Amino acid sequence: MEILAVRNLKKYYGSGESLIKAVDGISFSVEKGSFTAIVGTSGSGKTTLLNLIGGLDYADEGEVMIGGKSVLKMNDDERTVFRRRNIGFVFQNYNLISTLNIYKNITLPIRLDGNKPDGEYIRHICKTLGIEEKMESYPNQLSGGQQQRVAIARAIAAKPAVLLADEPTGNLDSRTGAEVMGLLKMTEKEFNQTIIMITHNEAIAQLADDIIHLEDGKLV
Amino acid sequence: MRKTGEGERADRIWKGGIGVMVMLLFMFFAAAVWLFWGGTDGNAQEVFPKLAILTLLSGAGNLGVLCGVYFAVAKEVNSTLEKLSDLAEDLTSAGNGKEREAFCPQEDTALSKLQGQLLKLYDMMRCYEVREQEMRRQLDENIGNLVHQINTPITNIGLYGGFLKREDLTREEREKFTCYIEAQAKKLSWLGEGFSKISRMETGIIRQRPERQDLLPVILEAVNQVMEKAVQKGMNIELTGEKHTFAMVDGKWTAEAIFNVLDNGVKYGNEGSSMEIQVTELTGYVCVAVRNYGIKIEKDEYHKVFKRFYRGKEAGKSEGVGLGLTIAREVLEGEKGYMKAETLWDGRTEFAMYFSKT
Repeated sequence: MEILAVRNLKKYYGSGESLIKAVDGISFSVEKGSFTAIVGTSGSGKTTLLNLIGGLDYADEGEVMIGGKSVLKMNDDERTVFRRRNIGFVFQNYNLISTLNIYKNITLPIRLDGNKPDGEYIRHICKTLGIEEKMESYPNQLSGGQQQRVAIARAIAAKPAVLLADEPTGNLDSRTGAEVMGLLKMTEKEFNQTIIMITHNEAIAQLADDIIHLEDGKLV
Repeated sequence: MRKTGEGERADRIWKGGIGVMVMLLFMFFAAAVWLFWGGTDGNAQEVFPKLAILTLLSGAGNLGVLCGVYFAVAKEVNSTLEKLSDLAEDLTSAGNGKEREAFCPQEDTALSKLQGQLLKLYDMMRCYEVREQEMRRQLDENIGNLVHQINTPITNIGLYGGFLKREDLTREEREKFTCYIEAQAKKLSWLGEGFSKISRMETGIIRQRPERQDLLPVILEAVNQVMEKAVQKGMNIELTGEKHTFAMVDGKWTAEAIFNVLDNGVKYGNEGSSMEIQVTELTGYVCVAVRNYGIKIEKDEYHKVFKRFYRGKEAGKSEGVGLGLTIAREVLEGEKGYMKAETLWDGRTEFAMYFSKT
């Protein structure tokens, strides 16, 4: 079953001489429960593409359908709710809230939606990520690697329809990166989690079921 | 644009025909009434022939209209049946996914309902077809995997049998080779046992029973199996890193997976090179990395080497069918682990297997 469809997506920056075609007519689709890697060098438009899929940016043209709903056609309020319920994000720069402890950071999206967090599931995630003893700590007390693991735990905790990961292991050492990739793969298998990950690293991309190569805003 | 339903059209012709006939009858009566009370003085001799002609004309007219309606309706019915049969033909000759609606689907007519049912039936059949294809593909995969699994022990038995023919063997060596053959025969019988189970598995090729256990004996078993081949190529195998690490694995299948990776390393490794097996304990995984110098894997080949029957660009000369790594990956993923291939900075090829600890 198709969970995500991108059709002729376009996003240009600037104009005239300085026109940058960040995303230039991209179309592809993703099956439910699959793990897709979007591979490209820096500047190939992969982050812009991921932001458009996640409804974090406005497209110039084209369509993004998640679970049969057009993300780009929603108004801002609808999109916020839709994003919270259906999309999990993992950014390269963590984006944790510094005034909340780790447990509250991880459960924030769930609580925002008025739901009770699944304690056992969250403990399981945190254990696998090696942050179960950091629940009471605050983000600035953790190393970069640990912060990123918290961010991943937060994205997975809400059991989103699609997990969008932007270089999830970009700031981690290879050991921690391996753990994180293992966890991503495990969530794909165990919870039928659809994952879209962008990376420049072919060694990491090989863990995905499908690999999409991006160059100058176009699929190659 | 709205299509006119075939049923509706036949209905319209029919109703129109009746309307015309009623009109003709009405005109006949009007004329009759006019003949009796109207223009003439009631002269029966003048009236009756006229009335007779009028009756005949009206009858002939009605008959004509009836015939016309009959032929029109018959033609309509025929063309409808033609369309129906075209629709059925399109569906049966499809396979190319061509679907066509001969009748307006939004109409609440018997024909559009029939069409709906036909299309539904067709969809169901196509679903079965897809499922059947998938099952056939899996069956094919299973057979490929099993043949491969049976091949390895048979090749080994042949190899050690060949050694046994040598006359310069010491007693110990002879015993060692006999033991190997015995072990391989055991492996074969275990495969035979497993065959019936595997063939029943619909999804996945292998269903393992992971248990928490020490990885070292499993690794050593795999090393044992590959040792002769490595020695033949003048390679030595070096075990580094942590010794006793515990992970959730199925002993037999994991030994098979590690063996496949080692075997791969020997096959594509340089003669006389050293193969490193490094065991590292991580938070959630135990990493068993196999590294050696040999045929390099290009970046764009990383994910391809695990694909069924994929042979590396430079692997052509070596033996093998391209299933070993696929099986290894399946085994690891069945145990909640994973594996990856990479060419390291120092030019060595690395296969890293991550075994889940939980």
